[in-house]
Amino acid sequence: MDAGNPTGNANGQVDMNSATSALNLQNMDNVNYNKKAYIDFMDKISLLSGVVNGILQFESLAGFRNFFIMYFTCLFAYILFICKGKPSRFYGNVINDLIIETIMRELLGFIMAWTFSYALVG
Amino acid sequence: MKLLEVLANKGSYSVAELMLDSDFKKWVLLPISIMMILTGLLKSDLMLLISPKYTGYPRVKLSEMQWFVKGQLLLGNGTNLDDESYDVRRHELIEILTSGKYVAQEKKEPNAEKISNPLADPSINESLMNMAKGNMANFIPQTIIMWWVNYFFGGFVIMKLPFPLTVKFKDMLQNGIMTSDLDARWVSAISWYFISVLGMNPLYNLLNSNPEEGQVNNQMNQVLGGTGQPAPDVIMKNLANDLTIATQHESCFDDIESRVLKMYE
Amino acid sequence: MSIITTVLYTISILQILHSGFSSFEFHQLTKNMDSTTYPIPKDIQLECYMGLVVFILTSFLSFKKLEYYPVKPSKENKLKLLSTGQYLKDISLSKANNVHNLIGNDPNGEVTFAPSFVDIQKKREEIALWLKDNTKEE
Repeated sequence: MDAGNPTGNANGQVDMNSATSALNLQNMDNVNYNKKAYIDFMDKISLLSGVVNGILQFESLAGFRNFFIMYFTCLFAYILFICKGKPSRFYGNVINDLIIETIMRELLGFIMAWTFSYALVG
Repeated sequence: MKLLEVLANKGSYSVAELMLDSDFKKWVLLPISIMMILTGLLKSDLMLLISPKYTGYPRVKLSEMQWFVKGQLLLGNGTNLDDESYDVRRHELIEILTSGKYVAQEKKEPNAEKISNPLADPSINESLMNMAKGNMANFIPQTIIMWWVNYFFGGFVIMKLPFPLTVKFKDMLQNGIMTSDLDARWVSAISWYFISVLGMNPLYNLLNSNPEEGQVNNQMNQVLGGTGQPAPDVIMKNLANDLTIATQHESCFDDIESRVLKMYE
Repeated sequence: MSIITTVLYTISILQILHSGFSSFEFHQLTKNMDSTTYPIPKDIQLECYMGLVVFILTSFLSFKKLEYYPVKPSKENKLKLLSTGQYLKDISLSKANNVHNLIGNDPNGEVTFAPSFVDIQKKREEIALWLKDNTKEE
């Protein structure tokens, strides 16, 4: 990755506003990388599960229930296998980064895919 | 194209089942979706083209900034120095900051009214222009597509939503359909437009996998004396005052011998 | 993406497309028969779920353990890919620097690499001495 860069500029954007944050300095490049990896992963899955929901003609509550089951199953599997059970090593604020920031976006993507395939198939 | 025919009503008006022409899917739903995806991709490319170029600062401005940062860092991290070196640095910084040695000299214009008019400043003008361009790139395609959808695909029901909605949505989603007691789940083309506007973000993210996307906003450098801030020499004087007050200094080296010895007791 | 994930993604998407088409045909058929609604046949459901499950599993498979090229080849390790066995990157700065150390990259090189501080005359003397010592033995 940064192998061709012997003087190393990779962590130039370090969050150091005061001495109080000296204990939890973060490498912002890596923070962004991890967030992007998670969002890409969830985007794929929520879109496709929306399509599947539409094909099987799930309606109203059943569809939303399926979304939440899918979302949280994938979240736990992600934490377990990809983060190896230690999400706080890779995400500064686990609840915020993994759930609050993404769930609305994924839900809307899911609804779009669901509506689309529901209308196409039905 | 036949618009719609009510087939199986089952005698109850609440569960009205409509039979829609399947050509709606081919000629309304798919074109709108394809159009949305293509404009979204085009917009992200366009944004890249009109995104503001990185503008540097003259060297004097940078050194002014860095002296200020140095003062702040000394205030914040001074505990890592022992008393003597802290005092030396403090006095030196107070002297430099109060004298205004490194304040970037700007060409003074004789007419003072220039300061009162923020729009005349070229740098502010440019940033305003960039903001306006960003906004334009956002809302022009949206307006055009909305007009296109309303103009070509208005006035008929194209699809059934998989989830129930309250009657309040009827006005918005069944715009232009003259049936007063049709269930709000049957919606017109404009509502598919709304749904896809809200839900397209994940799709765009997957379609344009641009690895540099996350790094766009990292180049925001704070410059002293920007809009709405006091002049740089005033900021420096304030910082010098802070440094003059900060005489109470606790070094992390105080009593370090006894603390180290205590560790090995 | 490796070949296996590409193949699995293709299979799962084809499965879902096929089940979608089957479901579409089924609905067209039942619409023209009568007004009763029939449940979707089991095989279509099964194919659809299978597609989703394969897709999700492949998304997990597509995460690769991060690998890094070392900056310089060492004696025991001639430009082999190094890995920390992780899928994501550590965010805390101290841990993130471990990767730089692993591949021999000095993240503070801009500050610590100071050639103007090297006493070049002393170095030259040392080398001259070494050369003198070594050329004698020939």
